[in-house]
Amino acid sequence: MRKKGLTFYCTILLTFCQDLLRKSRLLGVGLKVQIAFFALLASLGGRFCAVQAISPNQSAAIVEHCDTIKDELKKVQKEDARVRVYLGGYYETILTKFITPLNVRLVENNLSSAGLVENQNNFAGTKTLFANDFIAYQQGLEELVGLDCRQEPEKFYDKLTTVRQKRKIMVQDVLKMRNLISEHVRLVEGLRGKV
Amino acid sequence: METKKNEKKKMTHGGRNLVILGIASTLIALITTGVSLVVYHNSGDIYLDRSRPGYLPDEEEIEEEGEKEEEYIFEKTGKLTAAIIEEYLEKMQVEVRAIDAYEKPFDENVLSDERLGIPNAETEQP
Repeated sequence: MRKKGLTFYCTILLTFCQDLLRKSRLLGVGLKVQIAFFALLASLGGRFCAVQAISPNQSAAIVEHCDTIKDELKKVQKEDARVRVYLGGYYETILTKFITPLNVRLVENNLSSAGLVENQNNFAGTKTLFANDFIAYQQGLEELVGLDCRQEPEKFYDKLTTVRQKRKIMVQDVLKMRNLISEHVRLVEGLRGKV
Repeated sequence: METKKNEKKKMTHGGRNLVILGIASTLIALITTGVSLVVYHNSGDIYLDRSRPGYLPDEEEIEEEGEKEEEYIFEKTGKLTAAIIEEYLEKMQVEVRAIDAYEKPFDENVLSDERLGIPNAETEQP
């Protein structure tokens, strides 16, 4: 149980460091090296603690339902690919056919708004993060499906925990995108009185 | 006699060159295909490719795509009026509604212990 708790904290720390590194375009090299060092420590810690992190019951269930679990994961893979393609398409449409042309037109009409430009930059940045996070998540899921859950149930569960964390990041990205869209709509509604 | 021998040698030489050419072309094709597959996988394009076996869109999806309205693109030039902004927001709402139609995308519960049939450690008897 203690080891499981430690694994959980290591995974959280690793995810946090990876998240920081992803968004650390503006950070100094020294700070980046320090974060990378912590990420490495957390990663090593996570691997060390991962041994026997699950109960015998869980281990037995994984071995017993190995095929069913893998089928379920494959279904998730397929469904996620569908959601990613559609959501990514909508984000791309909103950015290239709505937000960007509107900002260009606002500049032309001398109505440029700092808030809208900032929103566009944030939207483009988060969209890229969403795409990259999805690749990382799918790679994790692919590795998970490739693992032999009959032979290595502990390793399988450990990987499953990592994939869950990556999926959580996807949920956060989708929420961020939705909030940015709402903010954009609010800012455009504010333009009504100015034109 | 020697001319015949030379001709035979030339033929053998030509045949060998043909085999070398065949092997070299096959090797080049294999290497370039391998590199393409690595790039295809590492770039993440593989995860967006829905033409892969097992990832093909369902019939319903294809029908829905066929029913799509004409695409709207906001003009980069021209005067801005309240009516144009109103139209912009109206068209934007179509996209927003389409996004909101996805209830809980990447729902975390999908990978939960319960859903995968793994007993939860916290609810287990000590």
